[in-house]
Amino acid sequence: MLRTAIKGMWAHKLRLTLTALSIVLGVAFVVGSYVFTDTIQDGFDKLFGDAFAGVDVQVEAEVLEFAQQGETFPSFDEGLLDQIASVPGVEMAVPSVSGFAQLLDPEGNLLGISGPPKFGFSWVEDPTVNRFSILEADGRPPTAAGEVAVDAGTASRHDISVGQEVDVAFENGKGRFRVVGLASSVSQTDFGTSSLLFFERREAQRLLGLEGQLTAIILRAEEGVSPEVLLERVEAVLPEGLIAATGEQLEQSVVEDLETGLGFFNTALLVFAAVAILVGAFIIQNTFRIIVAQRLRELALLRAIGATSRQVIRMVTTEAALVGLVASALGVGTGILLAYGMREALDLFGFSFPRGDLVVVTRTIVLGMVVGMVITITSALLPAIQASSVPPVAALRVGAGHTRRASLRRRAIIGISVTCLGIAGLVVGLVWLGITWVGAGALLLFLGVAILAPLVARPAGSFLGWPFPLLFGVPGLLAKENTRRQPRRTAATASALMIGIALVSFVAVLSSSIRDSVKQSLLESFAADLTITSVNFTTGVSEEFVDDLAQLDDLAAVSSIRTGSVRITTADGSLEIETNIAAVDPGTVEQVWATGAEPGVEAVVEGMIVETNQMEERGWAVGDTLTLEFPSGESSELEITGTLASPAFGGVLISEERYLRHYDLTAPDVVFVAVAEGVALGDAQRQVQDLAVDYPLVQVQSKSDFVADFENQIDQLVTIFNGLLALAIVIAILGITNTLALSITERLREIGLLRAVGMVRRQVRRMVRWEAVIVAVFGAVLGVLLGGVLGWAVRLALADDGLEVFSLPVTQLLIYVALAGVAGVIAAILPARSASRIKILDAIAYE
Amino acid sequence: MVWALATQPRLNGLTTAAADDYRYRPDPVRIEIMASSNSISPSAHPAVRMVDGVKIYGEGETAVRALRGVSLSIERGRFTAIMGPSGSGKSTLLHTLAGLDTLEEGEVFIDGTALSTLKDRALTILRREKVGFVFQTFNLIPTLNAEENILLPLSIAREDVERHWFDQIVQTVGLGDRLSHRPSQLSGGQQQRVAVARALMSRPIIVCADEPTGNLDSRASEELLGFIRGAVDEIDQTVVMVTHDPLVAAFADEVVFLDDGLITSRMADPNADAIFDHLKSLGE
Repeated sequence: MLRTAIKGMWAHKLRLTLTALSIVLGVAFVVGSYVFTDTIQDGFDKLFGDAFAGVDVQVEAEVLEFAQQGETFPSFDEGLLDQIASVPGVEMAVPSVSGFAQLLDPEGNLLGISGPPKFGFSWVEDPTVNRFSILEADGRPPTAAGEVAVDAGTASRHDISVGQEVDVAFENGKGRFRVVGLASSVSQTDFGTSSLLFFERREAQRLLGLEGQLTAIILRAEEGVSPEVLLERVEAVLPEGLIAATGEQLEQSVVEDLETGLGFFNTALLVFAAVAILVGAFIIQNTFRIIVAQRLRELALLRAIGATSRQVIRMVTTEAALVGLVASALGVGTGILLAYGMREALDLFGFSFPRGDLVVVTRTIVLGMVVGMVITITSALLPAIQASSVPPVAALRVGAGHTRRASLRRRAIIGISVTCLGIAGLVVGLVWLGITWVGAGALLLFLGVAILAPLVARPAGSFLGWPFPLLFGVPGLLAKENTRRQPRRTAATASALMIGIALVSFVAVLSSSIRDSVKQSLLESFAADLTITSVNFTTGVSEEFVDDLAQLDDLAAVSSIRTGSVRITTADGSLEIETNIAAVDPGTVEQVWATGAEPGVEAVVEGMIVETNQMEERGWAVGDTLTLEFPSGESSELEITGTLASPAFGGVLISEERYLRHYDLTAPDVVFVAVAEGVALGDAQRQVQDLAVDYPLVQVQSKSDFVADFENQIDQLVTIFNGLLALAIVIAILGITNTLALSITERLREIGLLRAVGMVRRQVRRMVRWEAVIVAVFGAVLGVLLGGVLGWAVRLALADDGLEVFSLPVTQLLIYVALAGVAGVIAAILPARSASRIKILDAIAYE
Repeated sequence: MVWALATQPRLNGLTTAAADDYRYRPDPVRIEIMASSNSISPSAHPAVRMVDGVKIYGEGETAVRALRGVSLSIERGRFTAIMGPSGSGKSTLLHTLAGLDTLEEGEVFIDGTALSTLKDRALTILRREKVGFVFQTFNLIPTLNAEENILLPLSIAREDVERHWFDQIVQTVGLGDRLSHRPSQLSGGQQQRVAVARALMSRPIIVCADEPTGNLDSRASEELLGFIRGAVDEIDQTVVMVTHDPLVAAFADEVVFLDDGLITSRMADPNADAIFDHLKSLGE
């Protein structure tokens, strides 16, 4: 049977190539995701592998697990140094401070994209605990104020050399420094787009706003004292709020954090890969079904000469397995190339990752092969079973008339059941159980609609195809009729495209709803004329800058908002949640933000106010007392003294005064400014911006800037999603090409006849092209409808979380349908060409 | 069925009861209109002419010379049958005459136009305007109904339909109540009648028929040949037909015998017995 299968494959090599391509692309996506994340992981592992090389024990301020990123540089008093240094077994105790510092270009703009961390460190003089060293040829370490050492990778990326002057931005301002040395890590690792700057310790403390403070003490043990023993001794004397860990523990925790982060990223990529593979499965199944239908007589002949139905199944699945094998292998190779290309492309856009070889582990290859093979074989199984049910007498009948049609009723019942299951999954997921159920529900919904699609394929062909006969005459009429000919084929081809289009439509609907909801709440409740934020997510707005602002006469109000993580426990201990809270100044906040607080925002002075929906959801009431635990480890009992209408900033408000008491990092996240009456907004903005010149990290935006910036961010996100979904759509388009190519081989005689009675080649091409367009548009319409419904449902479920507006981006969705039409035209190029070039005589020659 | 009248005398070769069915008597007025509305212009050219046609399939040692220097003129208003054993080149001759296939040497003229001078597009349009086709099987587009199939060449050319002419053809071939049927809903004979109607619809210079009755029973064959004969007699339609059946060839005005890529003989005003005898003599 293997030989028959190979021969059968060879005979259909062209059509199988296209099928294989859809597997290749799907597998490549999976393999590419793994290789890419493994490679990044490997780079970071190397980067951190020697980060704690000389560290036996390190002392840091304690940060509770639930604290967010921006809060990771807590400090403690440097007086602790002497106490720790005197612990028996400590050979050396090195003080260290670190914080945010970023290079500026000569024009005063920040160098390098925001995102990858930009650190400033105090230079550690002892080379045994410092993983960085400065070679003689690269200058010397910073020893005085006004001196900086730059990591070698960053220096070469930005052409910085020893002796040069550079500007550096800190949270609280900026300064000019002379580069005295270039520091290389012991392992010569390149840090990608992260940059590291080193200052003399006292200078670093001043620059980072940590005078008299440290962020870490690095300890080296005396000989004969193991790090574990030293750790125990240090822990014994450590005051509350500080923790100690061995170098090994630190390394492990950093690597674990990274793995979690990258794992999340990898999962996200794999979700998109799964979509691509799902689409691929549709196409594979469709292809095998068509091939089997075309070979019905051949299969029946095999049955007639004694092949069992089991052998026929085995033959078809063997063929699928061979295709799957070759395609999966190609997919693995393509995936590795894809990962390489992805890294290079990101590098080009400024997202450099630590360099290193591509990491291709056995797990990746095995997974790619298994996924490709399993998908191909399972997709071919149903057609194989159908093939095996061919009665031997079919071999004797003329024409491939035999197709056992499952009754419409049965199809409708199954389709409606699956669709209902999908809707149920969606509802359950959206209301109670979360994203996995939503995903499963959506998958079932897609399948259900795909099962039902053949039932509407004929009327849809008539409806969507009606203009074509009027516009393009006979080629248009035949195109329309050809889409109605085999509803199952048309529907399967369209369904593959439907999935991709449904997802991009869903993204479009949801993003447009988010945009409009946020815009509405911004415009309705935020009275602020100017919004001041930090350009990155690491630092807040400089408090010194806020003090400067307060001096301006033309401003009516300057009100800061600070956010932070908190763990809230109810009095009876029944509920414990980790959430965000925001701190406001009750004296000024109403001038910039209509909080809608009841009885009034002043209530925060006495306790906390909570957003109405959250109160309801958690069963809280005004008057309840809750325990709030802050990242610093302190906790406080607070009474709910009021309610809040808007869920902005997390929906839980406390007073600024209380916040400053419990949080170490006090820079505001956002500062809202109201301009005094009679002052032109432009004038006020100019004054504020003039002040901001000395604070490169501060970003001043008018309300319209702010809205535009927000919209821009949403658009970027949408672009990324669409980019990741593009592959699924490309595969679906390949599917259209494939189906057309198969249909054309079936209709060879018909096309020959058309050519004989006078159809010119261009008309043949048109006929094929418009058929592709109708099928593509059918898929797109189904997709847009499904995506719209999904978007509507998800929006509804999130209405309480601030998605108050449902917005249907009609133009956008229509553009998607139109683009699908264009994609149909492209998909038809090759099949149309081959159809127009058939030899008339070959086509009409008798059997 | 109008033209059936004219075929009556030629039925002598057919040994079926079908002749009894030709009871219908045409309305003479209708015939007159049809004849007058046929506008084939008198011309010096024969409808189709082949000069020294050579057709070779394959290359090198395996090359087959399907036509080895054939010259043939098909005069206007004549019904010519081409006969010959399998592999004699009769289908090749028809296909090259019709512009479906090209010659290696020699030339084909349709209505005076040399086909070798035409590119694919021009050749296709010439076929559409000047040649009508009836094949043995698969004559119709399955997604189009009978009317759409009849009008196909005109629709492809986006030409207006002469409703009057269409009605007459449809009535003649007796498809009036079947026009909205798809091919799969028609009998084999009805399908071939649709094909003949389509071939006549554009008033071609020549109708090329390749074994048009090959898949029909004898009664349906007779009907179909009756229509073709009628078209020749009443509206001077030129027809070339390939067949291997003497009974079918007997409907023609002349039979051209082909063997091994060459014309071996011609027979004017044939009848089935004469053809049969001739074929037998060739075989000896």
